Amino acid sequence: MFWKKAPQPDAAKQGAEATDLLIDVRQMSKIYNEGRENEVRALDNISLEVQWGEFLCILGQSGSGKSTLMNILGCLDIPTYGTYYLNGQAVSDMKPSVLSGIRNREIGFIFQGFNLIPALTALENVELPLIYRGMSKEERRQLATDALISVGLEKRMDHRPGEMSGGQQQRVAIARAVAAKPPIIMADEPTGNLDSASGLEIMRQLSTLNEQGTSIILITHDNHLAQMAKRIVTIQDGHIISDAPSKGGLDV
Amino acid sequence: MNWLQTVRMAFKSIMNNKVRSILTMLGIIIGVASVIAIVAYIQGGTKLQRLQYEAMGVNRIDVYGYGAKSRDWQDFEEYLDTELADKVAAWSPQSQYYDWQSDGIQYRRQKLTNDNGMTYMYFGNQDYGEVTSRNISIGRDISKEDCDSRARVCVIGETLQKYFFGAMSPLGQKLRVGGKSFEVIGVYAGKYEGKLNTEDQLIVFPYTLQNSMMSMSGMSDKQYVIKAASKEDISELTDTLLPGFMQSRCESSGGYFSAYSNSQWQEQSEASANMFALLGGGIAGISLLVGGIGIMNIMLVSVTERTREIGIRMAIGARKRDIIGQFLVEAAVVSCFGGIIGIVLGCFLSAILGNLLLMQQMSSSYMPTIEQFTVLPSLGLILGAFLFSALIGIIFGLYPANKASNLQPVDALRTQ
Repeated sequence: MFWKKAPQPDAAKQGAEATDLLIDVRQMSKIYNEGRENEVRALDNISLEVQWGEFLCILGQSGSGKSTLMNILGCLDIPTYGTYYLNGQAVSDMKPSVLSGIRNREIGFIFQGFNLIPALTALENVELPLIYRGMSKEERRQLATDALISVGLEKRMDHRPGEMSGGQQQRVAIARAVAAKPPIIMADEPTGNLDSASGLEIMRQLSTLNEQGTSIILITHDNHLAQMAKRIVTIQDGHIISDAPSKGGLDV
Repeated sequence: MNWLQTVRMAFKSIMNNKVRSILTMLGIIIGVASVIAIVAYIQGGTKLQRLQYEAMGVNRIDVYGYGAKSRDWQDFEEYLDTELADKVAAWSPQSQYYDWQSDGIQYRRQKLTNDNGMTYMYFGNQDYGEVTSRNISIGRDISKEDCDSRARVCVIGETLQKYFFGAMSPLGQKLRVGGKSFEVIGVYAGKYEGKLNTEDQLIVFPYTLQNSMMSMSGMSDKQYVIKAASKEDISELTDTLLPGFMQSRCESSGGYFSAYSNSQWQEQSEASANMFALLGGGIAGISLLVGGIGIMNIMLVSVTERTREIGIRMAIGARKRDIIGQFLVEAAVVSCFGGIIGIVLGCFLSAILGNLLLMQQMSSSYMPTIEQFTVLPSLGLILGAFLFSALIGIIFGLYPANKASNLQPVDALRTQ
């Protein structure tokens, strides 16, 4: 694998850049079934830089490769070629167990399908990443409670996901993502399963988080929704076809 | 993530699937309960047997011989007292006086004859009670002085006390045996609740009275009971020392000598009982194994069912070992829990079986009175069963747990 990697910039430059940027992706490709007839180039030689505190939207139709990009940026998957620095750490070379730690500390996920654990209450769901971090019971209870209060669910803490509406479930997911105050929130179609009012509420909360300094990467196919971000990267057939500031805000 | 947290999570997920968890546990429960019940039952039986033996006298050796001259027997007694002093704790003659010789025992107008079961009538010395593990409950035992002075006294078993005297004190009363009267000086506490036709139906006279009561032929037969100083000395005494001294003297004039202890027989029967316990436990252990496979099966189903949950946990930071830990602990908790229930059930079962065993043995009268005899599994057995069930949970949980932890987060999240 190693010899196949794209040529690296010299080490000094690499180190310097790595510390400055939140996300630094260089000539990254993700290829499924490489060399076979059914080869799929989900991502083809993509380079992307994200500064601290950005509100970035990755916009693309289904099949464009945006989910693959999100999985790699979220350290759920590793690229076939190229390098990926997250918060100065070369995550493209990391072992799965180390990646777990990165996901736990650096990234908060918000998924389209909420991805809460049905058997656990809202509070327990929010506590879960903190448990894996090895936090003491008092500390994590405090953080989880604060996070749930910040998304306006202080009265729903002991409810299980099945007892809540979609909007409420997604707010639990946001609380889970932000509880440990990670530098990045990755939101994959966070409003996809919600009615427009709930969706809007979620987007507002994301904006608020961004104003408070959290970097946000929003993945969506919805051009309209994308305008809520500050920068829009459009992806098509595994290539970035445009990278521009948004028109600014969502007119409601 | 710490252990306690993992265990708590495991409990939660077990409680979320109560029926399934209980059904999974059932295999372990039945396995553990049957192992415990079977082994405890057999161990209880062995214990009961040991108690029966001990009622006859701890470390008891019975010596029987005839053919030797009475001079030889005197030498034999001296040999016991001197050279075997450190191996023989106590000894006593035990010459038997038979019912047909005595024509029963009489107190005033009341008579106890063969029709009421056999009365054991022995001539013994001051150590007779000790050698045969009998304790005085009323009065005193035969003393050396009684023997030396050929006092016409006797110590009776509880059966005779009840039969003749009831609640009245037997001390100082006279019993007529073989045409002579004997003063009761003491009572041996019963081992069989003083029932008729048991070894409690007993009367012991000083051995020095023997000649005056029984007509002796020239070639007399002799019986002794000997209490070995320790269990370890028994086989040496019965196999070499005692026969070495007396056998040739008895056999030289066509006689016979034997030294016998039931402890050897007891050891053999205990050994075979242990083998049965092992065998029975092993067979029951197979059901534990089947229970373990049940756990593995259900854990595999659980992994498949919870693939998405595993994906979520991995996405938010669970490491491989967290996932392994979760499923492993879950399997271990299920089987430990089953193990605990099985132990409790096994204790009940062995108590019930134990009572059946006791009742069955009680129906034959040769059962010593045992206070609070219970057939309960030993602590080692309980601990062993618990650890074994935990081990089964861990072993059979390993494969599913490993399978879960090897899932890729992306793939796991994609599962619906």
